[in-house]
Amino acid sequence: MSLRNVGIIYRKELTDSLRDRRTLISSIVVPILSFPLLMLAIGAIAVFVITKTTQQQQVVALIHAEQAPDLAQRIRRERNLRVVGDAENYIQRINDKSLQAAVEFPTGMEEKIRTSPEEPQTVKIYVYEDELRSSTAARAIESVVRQYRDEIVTQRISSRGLEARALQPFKTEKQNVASAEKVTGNVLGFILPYFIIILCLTGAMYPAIDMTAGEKERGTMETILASPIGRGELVFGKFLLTLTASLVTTALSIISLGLTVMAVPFLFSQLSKKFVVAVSIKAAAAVFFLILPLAIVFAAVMMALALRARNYREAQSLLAPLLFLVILPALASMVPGIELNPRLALVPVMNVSLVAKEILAGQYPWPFIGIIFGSTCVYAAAALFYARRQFESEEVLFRI
Amino acid sequence: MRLDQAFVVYRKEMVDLLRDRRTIFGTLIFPLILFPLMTVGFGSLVEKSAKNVRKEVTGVMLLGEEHAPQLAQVLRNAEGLRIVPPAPDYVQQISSKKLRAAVELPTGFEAALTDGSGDPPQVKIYYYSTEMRSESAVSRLEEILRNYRNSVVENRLGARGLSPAVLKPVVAERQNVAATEKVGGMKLASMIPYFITILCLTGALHPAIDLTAGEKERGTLETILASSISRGELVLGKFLMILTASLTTTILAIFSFSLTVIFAKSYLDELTQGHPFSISLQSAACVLLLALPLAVFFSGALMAMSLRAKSYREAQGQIGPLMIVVILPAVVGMLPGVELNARLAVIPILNVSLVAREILTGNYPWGMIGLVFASSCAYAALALSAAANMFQREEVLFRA
Amino acid sequence: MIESLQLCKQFQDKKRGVVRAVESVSFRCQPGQIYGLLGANGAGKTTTLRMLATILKPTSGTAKVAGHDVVTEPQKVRASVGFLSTATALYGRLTAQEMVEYFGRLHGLDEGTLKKRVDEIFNRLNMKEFRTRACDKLSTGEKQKVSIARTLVNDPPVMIFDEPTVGLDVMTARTIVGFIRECRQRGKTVIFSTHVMSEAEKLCDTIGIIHNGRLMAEGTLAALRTQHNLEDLEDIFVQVVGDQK
Repeated sequence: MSLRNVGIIYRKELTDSLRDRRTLISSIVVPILSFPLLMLAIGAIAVFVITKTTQQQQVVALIHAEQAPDLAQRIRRERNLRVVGDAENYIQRINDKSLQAAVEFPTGMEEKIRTSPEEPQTVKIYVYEDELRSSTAARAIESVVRQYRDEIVTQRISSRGLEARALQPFKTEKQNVASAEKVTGNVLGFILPYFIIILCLTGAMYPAIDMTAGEKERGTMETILASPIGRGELVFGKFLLTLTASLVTTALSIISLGLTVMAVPFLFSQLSKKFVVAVSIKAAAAVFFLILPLAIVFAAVMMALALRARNYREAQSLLAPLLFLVILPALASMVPGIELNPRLALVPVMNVSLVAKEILAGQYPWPFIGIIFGSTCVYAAAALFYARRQFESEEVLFRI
Repeated sequence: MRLDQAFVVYRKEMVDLLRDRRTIFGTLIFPLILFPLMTVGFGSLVEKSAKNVRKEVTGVMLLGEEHAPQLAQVLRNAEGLRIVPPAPDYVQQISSKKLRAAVELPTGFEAALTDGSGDPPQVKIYYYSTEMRSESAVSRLEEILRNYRNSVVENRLGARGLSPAVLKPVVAERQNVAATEKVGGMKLASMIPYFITILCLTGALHPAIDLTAGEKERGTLETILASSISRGELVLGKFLMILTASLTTTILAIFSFSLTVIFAKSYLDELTQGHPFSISLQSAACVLLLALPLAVFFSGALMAMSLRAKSYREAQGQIGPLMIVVILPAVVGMLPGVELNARLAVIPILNVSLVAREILTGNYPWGMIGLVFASSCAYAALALSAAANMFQREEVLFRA
Repeated sequence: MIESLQLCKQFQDKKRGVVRAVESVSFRCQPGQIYGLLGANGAGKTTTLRMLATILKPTSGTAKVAGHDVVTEPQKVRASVGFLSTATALYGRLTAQEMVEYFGRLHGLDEGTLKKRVDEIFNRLNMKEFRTRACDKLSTGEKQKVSIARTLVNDPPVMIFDEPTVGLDVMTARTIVGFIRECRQRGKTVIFSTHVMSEAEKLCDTIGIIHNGRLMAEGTLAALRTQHNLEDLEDIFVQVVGDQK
């Protein structure tokens, strides 16, 4: 195998691919744009929902307000609530969402609070369960009731010589001790492995088809086979390009995702949760090397399969099930509770997904990493071998 | 226009398409088999792993036990906690997920408790933020500490002759008054219109391209245009075929989804919060009726767009990105804060999503329904006439 | 020089079972001569030519092309052969120049020689005008020239053409025919396949009639005419082929 010839093939396929609009879009534009757009969309939605719930006024009706004039007054004063005059047909109105909630005060509430402190009074809040606006209204009402209650309690216990402080014998505070890197890595470890694997696959798909079935469709397959280049060189050159496309797509996506994530706190000040983002270079590199043999498997297998097709359309139909077969195990990283164990470490694709999750969270289970890397390399070699065989089969090449 | 001629075209396209392996896969097999397989498979996986996590006994370290022997005892006796001996490297252990959390009891804790006059002591819980098991350990610990605090407060009150009821003068209690089907259906009712929209679209996609650009590619378009059939009849026949495919996909998918729901009820508990979810026949019929103009709209639009392309591949490349234009309004229709109003009722795709959501939760805002239906029909008519128009333009039909 | 010795090719077809595409075909073409393989669609012309070009491996038998055996030295054979099948098979997104250069490199030409030859060929074939235009933006005639240039870049001693004028209009077909003649003039060994009688009549020194994978008749046009007592090549063809029914 002459590396020079491989280089010639590779260079030509590279030039060719870079001029194909569709390849450019799927391998470069899409990975760069998808994450920012996704984040923007999610962020905008989150902002929209939050604004809506905090600024919009919820309509509330009071039932038997005369039994608790003080509390009723406090509810009326609440900024986010608009109390309406009557509570007629409140169940119906809550159901068709013209009323968000109705508050019912028990008979003689305020008086009983004064005279019989042993008897807790229950204020009923009628809601449309899980409905956004209704829940918001209920939360606001509950907060008012809580404040009211706290004042009464303070009154009651001070009359016995106790301070409010007595009600809080000790405080509890939780403190995160994991480094920012680990926290970010934990979160990223859920979604990133899935995305990386999928992107690897889809990034390679179009070039793989273009260089095999595409050649057949254009009629150039024969011509190139008649040139003095060896089959092995031909396969390798094409495969290298498919791999390049796949890795470029993955790399671009990861970079784009990283940049997007880091830009979030600047763009959405309403999402005030503190967002300290830090990704360890070591983890990123480790994941990359882990994905490498998998990318080889994808590139080689897709090329081999696409070669069996006579044209683009057929090739796409052949490769579509492959997409499916990969998505499901790749999702493993997103399922909480699935942990890497010796059994799962042998399941292709799933094992890479799970171990990448670990690595991103700062864990390096070396025996697992070794097994998974090793087994994926074996699969890679087998895939390459299969691709080579396909290119030597006259039946596949000429679909006789 | 002779309808029977249109029907001749329709029949031929039907026979042709039914013999196409890709159509069979995409329109029949995928919705019927893979869809339920995916949801059930994934759902059971999630459920199993969630169960596993719940069963696990978490390891928690106790620091400073000597400062609060009573509380320490409570923690040791608590269910679901496994106390491990203290070690100085707890931060390291928590970070590497070997230890779920560590509770630090400050010096002089119990003394401060008995005294009750100074500042309340602070119990610290060290944990790994975002890590699932650590977070669940923290929740458990906070719960135990809360209970302990309540008991301390009870004692303090008791010492002054006060009963704990003193602390609860008034309690707010939520009560759901929405009809059961409304509550259970909330989340599902948002998702179903989305799925219907997507299915209508994807069901129409392949046939639309195949019957227009595909015909061009095969060279058969010319032949049929030279036959005695009129353009209108041709367009109608093809359009009916695309519509059939679109509706078939949608109905089959919904059918298999309903079967899945019936047989895999337990997995959907997460979504329905245990409330029985049922769709009345009336609402189902209503929604399907609304989906009809939407399907017509898609079929017509896709036909018009794909006729412009020279080949199947080109058509796919052009239309693919446009799918996002459809997905976006469908997704917005799922958002909780978006409410149906006169303005939104005329926005294509979004209006159908919103009104379908209402109908599925048992609301029948007839005014809105009428408005949405009318505007959908208008868009459908527009799309159809665009398609018919395209078939009249020579520069589109014979694009070189 | 091309020498085919009992070339056989059979393959498995899912629907038809074992298909014997080429059965014991033997013939010889000399340098400076044009050999024409005449036959209907599916007769075995393409398969035979592909075997000669080492794109397909013979099931049995062998062939010697430019002194190398197709079975044992396929790479060397390919280095000496210029293969032109469906006339306009080009890489659409590459320019005419890049197209030719690519194949030149594959043939092992170093950059210096390559540049010289590319200039030479582009001049000779009047291709300077569209040298830097992408191949899918060329007219059919221009595409032809690019294909020809591509085949010539390494100046191979043997030229194999598989139905080179299929689908071409009269003027463009003449370019190809002219080119084939030129190859003969330059002392190359030329073999081409066709089912167009007039083409075979005009060009070939030797004609081989192939049918159902077998070489049915062979000889110069004059010899065939005498043998079958017929003037028209088509009539001769029908008679030869009809004999086998």
